[in-house]
Amino acid sequence: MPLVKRCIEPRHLCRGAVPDGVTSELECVTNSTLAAIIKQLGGLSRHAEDIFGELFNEANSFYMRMNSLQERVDLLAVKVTQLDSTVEEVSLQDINMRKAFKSSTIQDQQVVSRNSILNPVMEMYHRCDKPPPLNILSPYRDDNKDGLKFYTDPSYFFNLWREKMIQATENKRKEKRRQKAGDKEQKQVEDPSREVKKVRKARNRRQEWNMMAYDKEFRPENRLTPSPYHGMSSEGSLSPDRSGMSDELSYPASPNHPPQEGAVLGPDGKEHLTGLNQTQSLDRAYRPPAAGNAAAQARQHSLGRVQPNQGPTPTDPSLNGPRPAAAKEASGHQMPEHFIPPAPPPPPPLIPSAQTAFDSTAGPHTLAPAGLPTLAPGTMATLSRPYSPSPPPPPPASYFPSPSHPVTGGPPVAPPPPPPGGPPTFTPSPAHAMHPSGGTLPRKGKVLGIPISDARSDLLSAIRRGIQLRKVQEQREQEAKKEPVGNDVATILSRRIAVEYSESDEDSEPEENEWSD
Amino acid sequence: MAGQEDPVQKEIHQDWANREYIEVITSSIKKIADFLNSFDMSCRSRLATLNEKLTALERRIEYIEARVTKGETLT
Repeated sequence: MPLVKRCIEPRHLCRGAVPDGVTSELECVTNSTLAAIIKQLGGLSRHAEDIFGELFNEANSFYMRMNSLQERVDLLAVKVTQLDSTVEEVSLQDINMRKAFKSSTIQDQQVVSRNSILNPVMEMYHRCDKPPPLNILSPYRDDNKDGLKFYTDPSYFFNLWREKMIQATENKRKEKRRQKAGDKEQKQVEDPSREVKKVRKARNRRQEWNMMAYDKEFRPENRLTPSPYHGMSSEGSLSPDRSGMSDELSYPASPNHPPQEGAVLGPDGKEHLTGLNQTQSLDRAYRPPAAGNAAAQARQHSLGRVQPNQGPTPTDPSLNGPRPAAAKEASGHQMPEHFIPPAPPPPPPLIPSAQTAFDSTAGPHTLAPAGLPTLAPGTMATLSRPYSPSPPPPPPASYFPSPSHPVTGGPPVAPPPPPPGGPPTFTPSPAHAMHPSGGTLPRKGKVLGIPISDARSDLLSAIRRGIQLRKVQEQREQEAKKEPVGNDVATILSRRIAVEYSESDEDSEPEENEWSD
Repeated sequence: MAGQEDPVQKEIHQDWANREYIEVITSSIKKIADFLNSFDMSCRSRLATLNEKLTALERRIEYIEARVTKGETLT
């Protein structure tokens, strides 16, 4: 049965009781009927005024929109006459590179809410019985909740749905991260040839965009030999994020070629391809640090792989300088990759060794002094990577807390208190380990030699700053995650859909975190 | 008897006349109410059509503005 929107009140005209003591009853009835008619007419006129008011408001809004449209049309007419096809330059790349036009997709939200209630409906609502005044009791509650909410809460279902949606988006994000980590592990362990493609795809949006900027006829052809050279060259010329790229490239290069070859071929490959690319100056500027980075990366991987050997290489202190710089510049998501090298040492042995390296700096007497300087700078450099401010710290964070649990019992020197939760308690413990180690470190430096101590103090300061940065960033992330969404059905749903259907790309996750409110 | 019937009859006649009068009034009231409802509905449908046309026009103008501007604002 439809809800009656407007009701004219005296519904039955002649059914009132005839008062006593009246002689001419028929006239009495007639008069009361006429009085009821007058009331009905009054109600009718009120309703009519209401109807016309609603229609007038709508028409008024259209009038305003129409006026603004008229103004826009006038401006456009003026502008179009000023257009001059001879002056306008259109480059072919601009056609493809410009952001595509997207019309404003404003969705109507909260259409049927208390704010948009109609007047007659509101009058009907007020005529209804009110709920019991349980709000009187709310000052006496201990848990500071609204007393009436237990009886009737209009926003209950929306809050329930919102919590469910937020939970679902979080679960999807975690699943995706786990999947990505799992994929990377599998691919890097099983299939080195495919690993190259996967690793490169994660970073090379810029290359793809630049490729798409050219029309099909004009794209620089892919005549080159397979992946590493081609990838290295075009990335070297076109992408501004050089250190990340070169790290990326030398990493896929290293499993396929021995490290020195990779470092040598790097400059060669770039040399070979500068003719094709137009940004030669960029190449020249980027090649020396790239070579240094590639060499550093190759060396670091050789360090990671021959970790038990700990053969000290003579160029170690010289590379310690550029390596912290490389470590700072590299983005954090390469952390899991470097911790999972294709060579035998799987993550847990490497990370506990890193942990022991941390604690070993606090306790110099636990380690062989000869072995330490070669091992520790390498691992410290690798460890500094996640501590540098990088968008997704949780993946490296997820690697750290679990090994910290079994390892904390182990090292005898300055054992960190067993962390009940993961990162927040984990990060103070190395910090604590660091602060006493700051005193021990110069001593150790004197023991081992002067150039080594300088490099290690640089590393140490970098690591300290990294740890502090990471702690703050984690806190900020936790706060951000607590209040990620506004009270909007559309935004909540769009976030959920974005997480579900986003292509597995690490870049998409920091973007979501960045644009959440 | 005729004298007794007369006033009663007159009364009844008068009552009938009154009722007819009231009936006319109430049926006019109903017609007014019907007219108001149908006017409301037709107005709303026309306004909805207008709204659609306005929205379509707005989208077209947005597109044309995007085509024509080269980054400067249209003020």
